[in-house]
Amino acid sequence: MKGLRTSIIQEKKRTEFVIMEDYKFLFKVVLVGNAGVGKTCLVRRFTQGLFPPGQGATIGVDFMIKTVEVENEIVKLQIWDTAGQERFRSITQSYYRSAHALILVYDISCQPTFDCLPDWLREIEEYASNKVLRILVGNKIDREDREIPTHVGEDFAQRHGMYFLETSAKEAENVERLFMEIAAELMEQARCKELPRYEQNTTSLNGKTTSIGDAGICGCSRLS
Amino acid sequence: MGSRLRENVKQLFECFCEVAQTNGEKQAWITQKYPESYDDLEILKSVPKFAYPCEVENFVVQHFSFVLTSIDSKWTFGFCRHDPKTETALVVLSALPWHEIFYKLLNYIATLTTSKNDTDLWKFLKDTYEATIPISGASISILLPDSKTTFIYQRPKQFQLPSIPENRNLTEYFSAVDSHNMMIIFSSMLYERRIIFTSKRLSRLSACVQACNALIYPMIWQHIFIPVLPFSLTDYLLAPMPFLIGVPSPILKRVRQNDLGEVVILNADDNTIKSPFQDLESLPQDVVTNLRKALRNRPALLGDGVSRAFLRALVQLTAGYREALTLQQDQHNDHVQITFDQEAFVENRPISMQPFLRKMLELQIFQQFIEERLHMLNSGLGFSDEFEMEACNYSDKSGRKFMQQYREWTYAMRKEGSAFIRSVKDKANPAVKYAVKSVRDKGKDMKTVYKGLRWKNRVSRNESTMRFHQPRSAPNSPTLDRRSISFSSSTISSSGRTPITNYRKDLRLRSSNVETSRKQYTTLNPNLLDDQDSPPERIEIDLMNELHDVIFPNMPAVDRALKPVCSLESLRSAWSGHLRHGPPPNPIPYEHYQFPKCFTSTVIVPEDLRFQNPTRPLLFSSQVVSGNTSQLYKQNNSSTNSREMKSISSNLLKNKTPLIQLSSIQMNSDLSKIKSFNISNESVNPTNLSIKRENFNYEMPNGNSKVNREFTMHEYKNGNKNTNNLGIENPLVIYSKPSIINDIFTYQNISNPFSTNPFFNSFPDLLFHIENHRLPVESLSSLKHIDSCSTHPKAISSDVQDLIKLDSSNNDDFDPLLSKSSNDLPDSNISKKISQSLYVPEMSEGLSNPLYPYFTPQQYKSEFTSCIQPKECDVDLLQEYGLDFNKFNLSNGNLNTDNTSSSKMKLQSKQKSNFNNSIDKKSFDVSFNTSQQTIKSPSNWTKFD
Repeated sequence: MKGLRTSIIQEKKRTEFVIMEDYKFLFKVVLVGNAGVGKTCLVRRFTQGLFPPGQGATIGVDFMIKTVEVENEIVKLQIWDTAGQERFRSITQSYYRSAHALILVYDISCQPTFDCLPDWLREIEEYASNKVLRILVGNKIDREDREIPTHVGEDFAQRHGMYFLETSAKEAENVERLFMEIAAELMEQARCKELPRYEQNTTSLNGKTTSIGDAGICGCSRLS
Repeated sequence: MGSRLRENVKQLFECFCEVAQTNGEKQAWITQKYPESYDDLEILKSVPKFAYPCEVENFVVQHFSFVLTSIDSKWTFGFCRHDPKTETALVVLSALPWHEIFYKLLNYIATLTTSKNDTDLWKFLKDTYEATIPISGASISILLPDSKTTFIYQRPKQFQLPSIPENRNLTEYFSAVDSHNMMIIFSSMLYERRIIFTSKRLSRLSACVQACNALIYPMIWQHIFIPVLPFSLTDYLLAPMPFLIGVPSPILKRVRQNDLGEVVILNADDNTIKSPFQDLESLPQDVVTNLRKALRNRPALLGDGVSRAFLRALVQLTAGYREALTLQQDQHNDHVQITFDQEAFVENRPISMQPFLRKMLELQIFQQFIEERLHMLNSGLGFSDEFEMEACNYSDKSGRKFMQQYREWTYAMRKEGSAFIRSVKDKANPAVKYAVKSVRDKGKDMKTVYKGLRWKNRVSRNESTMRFHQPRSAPNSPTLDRRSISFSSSTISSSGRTPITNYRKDLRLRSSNVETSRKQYTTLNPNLLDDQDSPPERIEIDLMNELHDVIFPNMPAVDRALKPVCSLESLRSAWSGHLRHGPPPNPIPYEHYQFPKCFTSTVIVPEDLRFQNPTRPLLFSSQVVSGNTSQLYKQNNSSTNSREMKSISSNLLKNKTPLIQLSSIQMNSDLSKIKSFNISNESVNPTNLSIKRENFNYEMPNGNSKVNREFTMHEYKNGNKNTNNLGIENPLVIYSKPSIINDIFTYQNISNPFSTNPFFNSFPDLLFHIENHRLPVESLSSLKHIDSCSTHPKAISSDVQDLIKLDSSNNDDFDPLLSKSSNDLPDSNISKKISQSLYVPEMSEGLSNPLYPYFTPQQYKSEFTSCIQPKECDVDLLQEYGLDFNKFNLSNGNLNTDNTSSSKMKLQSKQKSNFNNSIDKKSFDVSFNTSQQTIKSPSNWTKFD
């Protein structure tokens, strides 16, 4: 493990108006994967319910927001849970279109959730920008009845140019690291790939924020 | 499936809340609610935020709506009323999207909140809450506690396209945003962009968002949908997935535009759009051109012109999906499934369109659409909506034979679907249920065809209950038999291109003798050569009529009898009288008689063509079920039914013998009890004078059991015997007491004359009515000139009432026969009158009616904006409703020309022996000629779909 380049800043007392907060980067992360693999748990564990959960009941789509500090920059992570979208037989391009990172989750104790990965990947590859950051996550490593060995997941990730990490939402293992790595990676992409635009932005009127757009990923690497 | 509206909604509204305004630091909160038991905390927590999404300055009373989406993606609507004079907002939560109704309800509630008596409001809320939602198109009235005013609402008709100005949302959208910008939004929605609407006024905001969502029908926006976004949820504007969000201007100003990313922003206040995309430009340009052209025609945009223009654009884009449907055998079991072939979908369309179509396949909105259609098909459910109608219309233009076949197939399903859903969903009447079951038994084969399963003789009745949950579906009807006729006609076209077709053929072979004979007939039908479209259409009409009876059993038995003698004028006068005297005492809709436009006409037909002694060739037979009329009369709220459906198809067999087919379903119910139920199938072959007759008579033991007469052949007794007491003298008499008839007539008129139902509008029953001979003869020419004929409200109603449908006819020898028969009539002076009551829906109604929206000729479609319709259409309408005078004549002619038959002689002698009515020969001729002309025009038929 390379060690975290990031540290979590103390979450400010929540205001209602997240969008008004002072932050430099805003990254949108979408979780996908079969039902029951623990997507929502992952998010909840990471954000610890900081953003009021339950808007899903009135908007139909739920998301969580966590503001972190990466290399002295304030980064806002907006994590969108697809739980409400499982009614779709397949999720089409429009769903991923403006996400910066996709987290593909499977359950290490459930072979079918792993077997579905190619299907998910096909959709992602077909529809999502191929430059989107993709992370494969094997969740529930607290479970005794593991069915997918770590190296299988790693191989799969490597073959498909994805980052890979195993987590346990229950034990809070690697959860924070997962999101912090994503934040760091996205920020790095934003900085190196978007430098001209970034400079422009800083000189523009509000000049406080940039979103990464066409950040590319250079091949496969593992987070650890 | 894709729908985001809840099904099986029981209550008009779920909850009423009064929300106090945000005051300084204090957030808005709910001060009171009804019912107290409502405890959805998530929703209650959100209501104040949505009711006061931001600080609003309000100078006038403002209505707007917000939408809450549950995790299962279903919508709950919040209808909100802001009054500048009060510190609170009134909110009604409902699963139903009926904006106009709820805004009206809110106004009533607002009056009551100022009432001195606190209990008034709660009483009214309770009454409204507990009132049953009426069936589609019907009205219900709820008396306010002051006993002076009444809250009346009409349940919106199913599948009706939003129209201007009735639909407040669309009207607002249309007036705020020009058509070009509407098109941009439309295209961006098709591309599933992230779309923001903004306005200073909440009412305009929510109306525009709702309206533009309605304009992509039959697609349904699948993503985040927030017509009015509260400030606290501003972060949803950052959602990476598509959304359609209405953002009040004050909120949008506080959002950093950079954060929004690529987003389409429509400012509804100044009609400007900011979009980083070229969505409109990347739509297939011929679609855009057509749409633009349609939207440029301002006068035509009133009514549902706007909705229809967009619908047609979508049809042009997606109607081809039907050609990409294939039947596939499941490997694991024997199930055959209809699947959607994406490649075929793209490749079947013009090359110019293909890039877009490939893109469209990736859209959630389209996938859900296809899934929904497939689901309906595979579960044996038809669909009846405007989209399919337009699609049929579109495919007509493309002239593909395959589409024609397919159309027949889906058309039939569609009809059944909407028909039964209404009856079963909304009615608890056991009589109805029984009827539906019986009907299903007759029509069971259709379902199996659809499923691609083997034909079965028995179908579990349990399935019927299952189906009723489907919004656009319904079990099958007995009309199947007839449909197969139509299908046989399409053997000329490229049959066998789909497995479905084969099934249908199979079905046909297995059907009854009756069926077979019909089939033979159709193959001989010369109409087929001229116009292949016509036979199916006629048949469909028959189906509708049969369904019609099942669905609306609440008609007073008297109606038919009375109808022919009621002219438009008389109806009108009765209505106006009613209007003067207050609201109708009974909310039960009698739509049948309440068409704003209806006309009555009388056709003179030689007596012998009608009911005569059974030894002659019979063209008609009728059945009468008598209702317990006195009871009906006394009990305004009772739902006495006496429905009679009849269709007669006169066929030519190979041997040229006229074959008469008659089947009818009768329902007779009193209140909720089945009094009698009657199904009969009769087939009469006049050649050998044999009568086949099957009768099922079911009578519930009931103290109030009514007289139920059923007969195949009518011995029609002419002359003075019948004039005083028709009921006694004539087996066809329904009501023996004219006074009752008159009373009921009055009653029926005072029921709400404007609560038209799409069903009835679309089911212009052909009431062939034998009137008392003393009534003046009315000319058929009235058919041509819609001006209503003279009427005789005081006249004794006819004893015989039939719904007669002529399925098809051979009009080869039309002209000579026609002239002959018409010449005969005045000479003999013996013809009886048949008065035909045609319920012609308003054009606008017909337009929005999914069932028969296209009965007007193409060339008139652009004029659909109002109820004004060229008179030339009327004959077409009649024809398409199954009233084909050619057939009349044809049958007549057949009889006359068949010299070997003794029937002709009898006919003529009969003619001489009876009536003294004068006959307007001239008009008779005119109408016949007219109908002949129309039937020769193919466009008249194709448009029907």
